[in-house]
Amino acid sequence: MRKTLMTVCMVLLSVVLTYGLANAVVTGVCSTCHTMHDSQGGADQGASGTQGYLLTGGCYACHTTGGASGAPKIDGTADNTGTGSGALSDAGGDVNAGGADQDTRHDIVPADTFAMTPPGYTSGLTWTNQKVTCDGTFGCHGKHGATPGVKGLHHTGSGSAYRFLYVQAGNTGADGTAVNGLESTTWEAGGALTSDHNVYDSDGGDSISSFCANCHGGFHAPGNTGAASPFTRHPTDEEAVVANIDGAGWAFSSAEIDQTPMGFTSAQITAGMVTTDATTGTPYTTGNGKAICLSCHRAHGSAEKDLLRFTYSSMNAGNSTNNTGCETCHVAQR
Amino acid sequence: MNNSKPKKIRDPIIKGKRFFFGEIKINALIFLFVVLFLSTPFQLSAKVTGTCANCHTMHNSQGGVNVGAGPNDNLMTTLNGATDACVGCHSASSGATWKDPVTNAPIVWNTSEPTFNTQKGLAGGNFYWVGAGDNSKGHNVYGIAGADSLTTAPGKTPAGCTNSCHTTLAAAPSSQNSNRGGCRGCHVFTFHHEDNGVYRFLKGHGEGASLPIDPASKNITSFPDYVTGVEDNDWEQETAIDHNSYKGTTTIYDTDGSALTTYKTMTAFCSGCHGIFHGNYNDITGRGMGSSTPWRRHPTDIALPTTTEYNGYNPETAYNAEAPVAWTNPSVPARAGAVVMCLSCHRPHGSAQPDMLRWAYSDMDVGTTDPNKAGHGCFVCHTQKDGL
Repeated sequence: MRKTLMTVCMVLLSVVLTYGLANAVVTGVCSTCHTMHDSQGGADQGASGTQGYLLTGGCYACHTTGGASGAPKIDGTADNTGTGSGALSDAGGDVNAGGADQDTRHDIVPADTFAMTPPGYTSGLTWTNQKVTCDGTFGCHGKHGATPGVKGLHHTGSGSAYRFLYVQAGNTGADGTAVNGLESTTWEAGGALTSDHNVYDSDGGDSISSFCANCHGGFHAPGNTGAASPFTRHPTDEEAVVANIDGAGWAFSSAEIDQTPMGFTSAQITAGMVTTDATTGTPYTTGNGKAICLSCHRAHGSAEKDLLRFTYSSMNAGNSTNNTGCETCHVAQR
Repeated sequence: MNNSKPKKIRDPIIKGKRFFFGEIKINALIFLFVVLFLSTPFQLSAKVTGTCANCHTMHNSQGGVNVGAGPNDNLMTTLNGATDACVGCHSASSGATWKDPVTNAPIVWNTSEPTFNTQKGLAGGNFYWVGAGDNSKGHNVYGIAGADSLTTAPGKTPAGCTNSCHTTLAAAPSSQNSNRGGCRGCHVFTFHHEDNGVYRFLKGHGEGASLPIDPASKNITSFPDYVTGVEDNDWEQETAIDHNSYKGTTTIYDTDGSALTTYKTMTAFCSGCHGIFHGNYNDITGRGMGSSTPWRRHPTDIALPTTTEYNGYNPETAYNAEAPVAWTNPSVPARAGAVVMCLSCHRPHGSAQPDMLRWAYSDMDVGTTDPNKAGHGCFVCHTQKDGL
């Protein structure tokens, strides 16, 4: 009986931990992430030296191999069994999937020396010898005006901002507008499923593509891509995939939502859409899904150049054996 | 190539009959099959296949720098240092290149004089000469040649549009031409990923259209103003085996804007800018070509007569790519359906000759027996005008 109770408790604890993190509200044992004095048994704890907010290490330390248990990993370890692009990754991708090739990731890996102005950058910050950071002024996560940007967010969860992401138009130094979205309970580890996947926003100023445009603004918005066909750069948040590109060919399957996810409207997200279009009550195939930056790219990194979800050089029109990548949406080119 | 009088025509059907009624019937059947096979134009699927990255760039950015001039419509990459995406893909520096080795795109502008065939170009000709500065030898197309002294297309229909592509093809894509400057002045809508029957993407912008051109007029069901035909699989890089098969009509029509929709002929398309050279029938102001002999301008979309000297040219059995004809039914070319058209004499992109002619007009010397002149050019149809 005692063993049974112990087993039940263990199971319940693991469930609580799992789903607590899935909402991005960190729950669990404090000491997993914090150390009160950076000392135990006379030895230094975690990363060398004391860390702000009593953390045992920085962002990368917790979210890579050997980091805090339960924290989603961005280097292809731990919980990652994703199917995207042949790499094992969560939804955001794997910074190590491309090996030494720095063109396959945002240059947050400590060994990376690559530092350049972000492609498509318009204005705001000065990027001289500045690598991308996980958070803060030159980072992706957290409020851009705060130091550190993610301060407190782990304990308020993604209800405040999808994956702690904020749109900061013009890089003014302000905190920015919280990105809208719905988060997979497993961060799509093991691959996105029709029953469990991220739902990205693709309209208004709180979309995921608007967020990417913080740094890559030249690749987003009608003034840079064109407002309608013929587009001059691949549109994001503009063209409804099903209505304008695909016709009847796009099927909502786990494979397709994993390889080439679409974005949806704020109204659909507010309605809690996960597997169906909450507006129509029908599957995504008749929805208003639009192409977003993440339809093609994985934000952290992938095994492909340009952080792509697929091998661009293998995208071959008229080759019926390859209907992935670009041709997931562009069915006429299959 | 056959450019001789009737007595010189070697009719393979007659030869076939001789075999058939001879002793070796099997050989005769094989011969007939081969003749039929070779005389049927290979229809080229214009649908582009291949690696997307050969032609497209998603953001016109790689390694933090622009991939080429642009960004361009439809995410096209600008290749070969060109200023225009169309030109970039369809040009080559070597005169020996007629098909891009990577994209398989037909080359219409060799920046060195074309050497890949005797006609020095594919069916539509080549922009080499106009690109080299001779304005008389090609359409002045944006990205290849600047504007010439002409203020409008020769033979432009007065009632036509007063700006845009009807005025010049040398202007960059802009609001003045609905971003259809240059190549897109003629190839108004392209269908690189479709096999929809629009011959060489020669599609009008919808009858009565005004700027800006409505993107909806790309729909060929709603706006069926396009050319049809059967396309040679090597765009006439060689013409000994097969060749294009153009659409023509023998129905009299005026250039009132509806002919392309109704007849879908190559001549009707050319008339979009050069309408005076085809219509207006019975117009006493001097416009048009007339409606019967005596013609006031060389007729087009008119049957190649089967009588008098014209009987000496049978394009069904002895097609001469130097003086091609259109057909009332391009899929089943028949002598009775042979039609004189604009391209019987001209190459639309350009040629080595003034006015983009297929031959040297100055060589057309009545009564000549010079083998380099007799039987060529005008004399392919006008068989009794040379000295042979």
